[in-house]
Amino acid sequence: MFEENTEIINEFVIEACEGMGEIETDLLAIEASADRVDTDRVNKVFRAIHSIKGAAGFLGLSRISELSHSMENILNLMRSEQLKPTPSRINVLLRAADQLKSLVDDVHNSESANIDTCLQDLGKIASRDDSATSVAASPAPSCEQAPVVAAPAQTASTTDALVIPCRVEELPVAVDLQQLQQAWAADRSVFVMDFDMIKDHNLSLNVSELGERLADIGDILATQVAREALGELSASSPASLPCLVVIATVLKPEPFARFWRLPPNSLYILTDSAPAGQFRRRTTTETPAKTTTPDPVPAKAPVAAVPIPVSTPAPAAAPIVPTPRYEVVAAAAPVAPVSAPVPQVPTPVAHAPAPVKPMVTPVEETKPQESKMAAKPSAAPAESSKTDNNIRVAVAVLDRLMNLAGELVLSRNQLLQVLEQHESRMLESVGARIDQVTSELQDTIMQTRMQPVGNVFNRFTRVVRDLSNTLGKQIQLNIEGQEVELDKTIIEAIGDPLTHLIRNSVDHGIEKPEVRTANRKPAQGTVHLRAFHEDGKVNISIEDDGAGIDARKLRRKAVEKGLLTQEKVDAMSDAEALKLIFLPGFSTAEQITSVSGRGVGMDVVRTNIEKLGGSIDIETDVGRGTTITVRLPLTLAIIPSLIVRSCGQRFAIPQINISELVRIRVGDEAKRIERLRDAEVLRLRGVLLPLVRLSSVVKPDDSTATGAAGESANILVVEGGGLKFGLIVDGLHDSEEIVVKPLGRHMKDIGFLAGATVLGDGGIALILDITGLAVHTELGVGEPAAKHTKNETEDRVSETISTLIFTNHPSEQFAIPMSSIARIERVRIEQIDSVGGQEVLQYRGGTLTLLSLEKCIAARQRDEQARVFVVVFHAGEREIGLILPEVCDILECSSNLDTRTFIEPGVLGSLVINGRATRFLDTYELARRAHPEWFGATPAVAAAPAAGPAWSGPVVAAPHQPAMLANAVHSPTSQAAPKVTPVVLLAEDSTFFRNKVKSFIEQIGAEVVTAEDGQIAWNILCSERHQFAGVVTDIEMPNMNGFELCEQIRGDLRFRHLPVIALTSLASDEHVTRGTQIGINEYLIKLDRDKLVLAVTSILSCRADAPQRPALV
Amino acid sequence: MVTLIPANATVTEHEFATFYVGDSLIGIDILQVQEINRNLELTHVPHAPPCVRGVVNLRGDVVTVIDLRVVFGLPGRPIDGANRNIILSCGEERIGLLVDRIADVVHAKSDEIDVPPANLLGLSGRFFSGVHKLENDLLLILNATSVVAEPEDEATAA
Repeated sequence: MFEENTEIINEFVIEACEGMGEIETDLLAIEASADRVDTDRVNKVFRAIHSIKGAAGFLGLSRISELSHSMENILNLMRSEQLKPTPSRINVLLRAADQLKSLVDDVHNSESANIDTCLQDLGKIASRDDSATSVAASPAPSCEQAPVVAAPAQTASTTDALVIPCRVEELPVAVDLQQLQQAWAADRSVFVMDFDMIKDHNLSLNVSELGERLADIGDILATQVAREALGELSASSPASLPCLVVIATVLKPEPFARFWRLPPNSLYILTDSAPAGQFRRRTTTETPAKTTTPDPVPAKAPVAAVPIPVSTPAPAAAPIVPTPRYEVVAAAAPVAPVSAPVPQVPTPVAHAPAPVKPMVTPVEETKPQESKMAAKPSAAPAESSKTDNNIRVAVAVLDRLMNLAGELVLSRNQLLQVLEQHESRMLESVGARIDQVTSELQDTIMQTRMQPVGNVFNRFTRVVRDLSNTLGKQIQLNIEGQEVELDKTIIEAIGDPLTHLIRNSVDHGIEKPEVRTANRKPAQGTVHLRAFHEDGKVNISIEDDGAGIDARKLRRKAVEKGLLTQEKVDAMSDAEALKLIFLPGFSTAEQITSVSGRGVGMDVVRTNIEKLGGSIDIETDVGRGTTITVRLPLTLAIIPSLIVRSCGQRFAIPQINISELVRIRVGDEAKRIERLRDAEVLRLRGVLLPLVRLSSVVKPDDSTATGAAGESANILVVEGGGLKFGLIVDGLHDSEEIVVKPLGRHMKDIGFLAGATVLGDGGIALILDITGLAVHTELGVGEPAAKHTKNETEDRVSETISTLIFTNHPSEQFAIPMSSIARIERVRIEQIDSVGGQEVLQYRGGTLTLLSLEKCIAARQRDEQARVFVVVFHAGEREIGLILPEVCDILECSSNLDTRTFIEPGVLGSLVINGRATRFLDTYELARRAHPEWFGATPAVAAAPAAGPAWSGPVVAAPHQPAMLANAVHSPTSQAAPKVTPVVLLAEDSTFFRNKVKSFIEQIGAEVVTAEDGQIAWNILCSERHQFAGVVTDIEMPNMNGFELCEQIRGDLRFRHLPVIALTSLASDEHVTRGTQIGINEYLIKLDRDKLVLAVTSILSCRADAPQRPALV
Repeated sequence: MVTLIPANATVTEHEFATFYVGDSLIGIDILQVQEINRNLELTHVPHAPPCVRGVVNLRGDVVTVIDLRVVFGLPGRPIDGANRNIILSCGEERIGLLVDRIADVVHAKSDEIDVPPANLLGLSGRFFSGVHKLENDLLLILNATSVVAEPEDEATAA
């Protein structure tokens, strides 16, 4: 019978789902504020449930109606604060809400669903309260309801119901008498609307709209739709849909009738003073109704437009037995039953005089109907609700779309006109207009698909609550950024991965309360769920303050599970080991719980997120917590991509997969690209990246494709499926936003293609799937492919510095150590102002002072160019920029500088790079020479000349540092040795660095004794000719390296107190850890002058504070 | 393989768009043809099955083009001015057939179409559902479904 009004039912389902969307959140909020009942919220839930009940009643969905009715009862009690929303009660309500949702989701089978347990639980809550406070409770119609409850006399009236007939015999409705009386007591009118939804279509409303409007003006007491009538109607459109509504409202009869414009004889008013006998009272006794004789006498004269005011009898006290079912209709009281208004109705309803008949129908007759109801759905194949295919769009957005569509039509007409008249000069403006309209149109259409991420987030409150209860943990979930919007497809797809991540955080992340307290953490754990925009993407982060992930455990697990060998995991850094959890078949839960730990987790999560064009990242701090960040594109339909060329064909690579571009110039190829057996690898910052030539994938048979020498190579460093590799392409084109088109059925198995796209010129570019490409080229997905080759590097190249190579005038090449560069900007020459001979750049809301190389050192003037680079570096506390017309490359250079050929302030030395003499610049010195006032002759420096020979060259130091040192040196505690210049031992094998570092330290007023390697330094120390304040050492040195030197120092009672600063060009985590273990106080990058100065100053001042310490040791 | 002519079925009239591949005149039921064009700016798809000549941009959609010469085991040939792209609608997808040149539309009654001979001019017989005798030529009726079938189906069929 439902097939006929599928549309109405579907509408109901959509409405109900929307209504229920927030019930869960609200219930949880009610629970959270149990002490002070949030009446507004309870009301909100109440209304939602209430309208579901109303509509379900309309449609004859009795199970849904019953369940919502029972829920409503409890909410009503909570609303009036007669029932406290305790967690256990909310639990029952939540379960009921779940059940209600599943009933609604599968509405066609809802009638056969078993909801007894739920009703029973709800009934228990209601009744418990009943007995406790003897407040009239609702008749939660549960069979197992304790019979005792029904005993008190006053409950009798509440289970009393009034049966109202209708012109269609199947439509009697029962109205709760207590509700009726309440309505009357509140001076409200109770109307009976008896009309046909189809025929009386001047209402022009559908069920849900009607329900909504009714709910707006009053309380719906009962509703009924003729289901039987529907069954007989044609499938396409039912000819009539009679229904009956009982509503209590403050409206008076006349406005009410006018409001609804119902046909005559379809509106009645119920009063308590009208002659008795109009309607039959329903009680719960099982006396079949010989007493209920039909009374054909029509009711009184119509009141205004309202045909008949009818009335009910006063409730009679009758012996009560709990009702098993609502349908039980029987009159026990000596009330003369029913007078239906039906006979008056002039409509040709065949069974017009019959309304009485059903009234007397005892239970038995309702049964067949019920069983029919139950039978029907099983006969009809379950048709799943299609709510997912609907989307709510703001009318404003639709209006904008309409406008834009209009605009587009106008522009098209213009274009056609222009084409006809050959007015080529107009073409440009028309083109611009179409361009603008289409992009706006695109944006707006995208907007219609955008949904707030809160739709997904809301469900997690419940997930976390239920889980933490199950696991015995205390967890608070904080949600932020619900309003952030994402494409509907993405919203739908991220639900499961996010649920998994949240469950992981709750299950594995947050510890049990006792563990937390033992670790001095609050017993309650916190999970932060946050969504925010960043770089045109949406980031969702899940942050817990739990135990964190122990990389050692992961390593062990990976070996135990036979996923990787011990050697492999040993070689991994912690960050790499962390990524092990994304391996298929990896689960770290010590015990497999029902919650997580089935080993199908994180790899699926990652795959799903990557399918959406997103990425996932984990950061963890053992003992402190874990943060998982998921980055998602706003939409799937349009992907920002880089178009590349290979074998004369264009390919699109999604930007999300590209981490950097590397260009290797002609001649450098041999140096940068190496071959390990057959595989090509790229050495990139100490890491070997596997290389894939796109041409060998595109044209595998073409042998000339590999290793085409004599050309510069473009390498895209790409990342996908947890693997990073270099992709060699023939050329780079533009970045474009591409629209993905699927490839045909013949190509669906080509793993490395994600589809195709039509480019601006009408050509086609294939879209590369980077993960698929890695699989295709057998790079071995799953293993972190970027293997560290540090040891190798160290063996081969004694010491290298990463340097930026550039030219000022094209004929002169210069270099700056990368370590001294804060960042590089590209600016237009117009952005540079010249103020009083000083060039400045308006920059980040301030002014950046710029240097031109030719003004600082002997260099040829730069050529005028439209755009230049500005290298920004720190000089003391300020920033300064150096203008570079042309950046050539970033290279690892040897540190063996020639310090004799070019001697000039601001130049460190020179080196032959790529066959050209290249001068290394000293940025600090350049800045100092250009703006000596910044580094100024501060008074503190005056104290320094006593340092004597250490002060070679001009007195220079950052303003605050000499002061610190001077104070330290001359502090009262150092009275024993007033004016003694601190002496620092410097061990460094490279002459260049030795001289440089020496001058840095000397500039802050300390004396430096130098040693060429660790052994020499140790010898100097042991000779005890100097009282050293500290040791600055290089790590990589012949004979004795920095680590060994430090170990020697720490192992000797005479020197163990000495602060040791290590300088290195390789500050890897491992080094730092090792250094810290053996007692290195500071670990610094070479040539970072400011940090070095700061570190030396601070150790010297410490030393000055405790000058007697060596003697004490 | 489906034959178009059940022994005693009612006679139906068919129209065939005909074209040449190599020396063979081949026809395809005109109801299956969406359009015939010269849009042959093909983009090669690496690792596609050999019969896929490439993809073309058909008014914003990416359409696979199948080279019938390859399907029939004939040597490949560069594209010239006579080549045409016959776009078929196959369910939701549209697929193009690359043919050497196009010929007339031929009317034929279903009882005029014979079962294809077992050894069909050296071409793969399974792609044809019938033969129609013309005055001085033989029209092979192409079974479009088998030509545009997915590679694995084709493999199992063969």
